[in-house]
Amino acid sequence: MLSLPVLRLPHLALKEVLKCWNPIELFTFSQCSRKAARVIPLAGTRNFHLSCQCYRFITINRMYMFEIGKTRRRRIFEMNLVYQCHSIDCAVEIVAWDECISFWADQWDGFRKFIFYLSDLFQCHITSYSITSYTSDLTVLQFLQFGQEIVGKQDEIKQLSIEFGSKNSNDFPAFLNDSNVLNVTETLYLYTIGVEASGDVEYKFAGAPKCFILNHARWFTRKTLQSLENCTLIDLNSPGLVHKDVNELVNLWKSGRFSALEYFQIKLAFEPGSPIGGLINLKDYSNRMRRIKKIYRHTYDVLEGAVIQRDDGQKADVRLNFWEEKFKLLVHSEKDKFEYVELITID
Amino acid sequence: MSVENAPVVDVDEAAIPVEKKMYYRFESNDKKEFRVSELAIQQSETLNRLVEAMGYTSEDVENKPAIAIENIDGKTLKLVFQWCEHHKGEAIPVDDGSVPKIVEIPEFDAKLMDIDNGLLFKLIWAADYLNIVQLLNVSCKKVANMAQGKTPAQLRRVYLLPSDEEDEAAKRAAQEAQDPRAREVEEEFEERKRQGGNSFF
Repeated sequence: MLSLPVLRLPHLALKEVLKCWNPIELFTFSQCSRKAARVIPLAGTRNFHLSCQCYRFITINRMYMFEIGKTRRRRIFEMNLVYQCHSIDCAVEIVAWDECISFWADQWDGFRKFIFYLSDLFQCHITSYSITSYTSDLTVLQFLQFGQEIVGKQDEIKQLSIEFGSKNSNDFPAFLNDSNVLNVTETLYLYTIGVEASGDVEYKFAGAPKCFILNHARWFTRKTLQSLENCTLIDLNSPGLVHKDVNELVNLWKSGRFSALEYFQIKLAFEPGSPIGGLINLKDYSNRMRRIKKIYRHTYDVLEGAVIQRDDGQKADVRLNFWEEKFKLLVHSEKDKFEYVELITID
Repeated sequence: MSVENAPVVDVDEAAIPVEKKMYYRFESNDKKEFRVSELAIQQSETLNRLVEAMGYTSEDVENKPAIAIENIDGKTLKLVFQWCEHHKGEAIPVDDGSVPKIVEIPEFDAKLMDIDNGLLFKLIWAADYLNIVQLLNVSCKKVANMAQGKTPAQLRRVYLLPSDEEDEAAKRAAQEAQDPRAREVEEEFEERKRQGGNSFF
C-alpha cells in the first residue's frame, strides 16, 4: 500500500497523528478537504491562544505565525511550499516551520477572513488583539467594528492592547466611549503617548477588565482611577496624577474600597516626605523577603516593603522608590511566593 | 500449530527479573503462536489485564491453549511482540499536553516500522486495540512525519483523502444506489432544510 488512509485510523490513533502537527501543519492538512478540516479539533486545538497584531500578524500560542501579506506573484524562496487555499480563496506560502504567509489583494479583508477561519477551524477563541499607531493605518472605527465582530462570536476578548500615537490620538475619546462593548475581561493595555490632557473632559471606564496597564496618559485623572475600582491589577506609567491622588487611593483601599485590588503600581514624581496611607516611611530595609505575585500572565514583586493594614485586617506591602519615581502596593495573599534577598553593604 | 514450531520472539533473558520469568502463549487470527514474557506484556494494558484476570500459573501457560487474539494477524502480532520485548520494563509514557506533541522515534522502532504502509496501518490498529501507548505514539508519529513538506494535493495522495468533489460524487452515487422512494424523501428533506423549515412533518 503506497498510501495510508489516515481518516480510517482508530479515533485515538487519528488524534495522536493530529497532535504531532503544529498549527501550521494542521492548517495545511485542513486544506485537503472539508472532512479533513472537521477532524482538526481532535488535536486539542480548542486550547490554542489566537492573538493578532494589527491586521498583519496572527499568532497561535505566541509561537506560530500566520502573516497576512499583499498579493504577490513570485515565491519568497524557490524552495518554499506554496499552495492555493480553496476554503478561503488565497495563496499560502510556508516560509518556515513556524511561519506562513497568506496573500490577499485587500489585507484588511483577508485578515478578517483568515482569523475567523482559523478560529472556526481550531474552535478556539481570539484571546488577544493589539494595534499600534506606528505600524497600522487602521482607523479606530475599523478596530472597534472588528472588535465587535469578535465579541459577537465569542462574547469577550481576554486581552486588548491599543496604542494611540500622534496619528490616531483624535480617535481616543471615541475609543473610550465604545471600549466597554468590546468586553475586555482580562487585560487592557493602553499606550496613549499622543493623547493630550483635556481640562474639561474626564475619562472613565464603564467596564474595566481585571488588569489595567497604562503607559503615558496625561489624560488620566483621579476620576478615571476611581472608575477602576473593580480591577485586580492597576499599573500606571506617567498618568496625569499627583502624590495626593495616590495617597487618596491608598486611604480608600484602607477603608475597604478597591477590595479586588491585588497589586497597584504607579510611576510619577512624588513629593519628598509626604505620607501615603498615613505612612511616612514607605520602605523597610530590614524586610529582606521579596514578595512575588502572579496575576494572569503578569508577575510583580515588592522588596523592602513596609506593611500597611486595612481596617478589616488585610495587609499589604507598600514601597516607594523615590529615585525611580515608583510606588508599589502588593496585597498579601497565601498564593504569594517569596525570595530572600541579601542586603549588600558597601564598606 | 504446536508450541515447538511457533515463531518465538527473541528474549533478553538477563533483563527479566527471576520472579517474573513466565512466558504467555498467544495465537494470532491466522494461527501463529507466540511466547511473550510477562514483563513485555505489561506494555499492553489490554493483555496485562487479560492475563491478570486469567490468573494462570506456569503450568497453565504450558498446558492450556494459547490465548487467542482474533483480530490481529501473525505478521502484525510478531511486530507488536518484538516491540514489547524490546521495551519491556519501560515506564508507560504520560501525555504532557505539549503542542505539538514531542515524540522521538528510537532507532529500534524506526527499523521495526520500516514496513509498507499497509502493515503500518495494521500495526497502528493493533497498538490501539491492545492499548500499547508508546507503540501507538511512535507509529502515529511516523504517520504524521509523512506530511512533511507536502501541499494539500500531495497530502490527499499520501493519506488517501478524497477531495470535496470526490466526496460529493461518492455521496451522490450512494444515493443513486438507494431505493428511489427513500431518495425522494431525503431530497425533499434537504430542500426543506435549505428553506429553513423546522419540521419535516
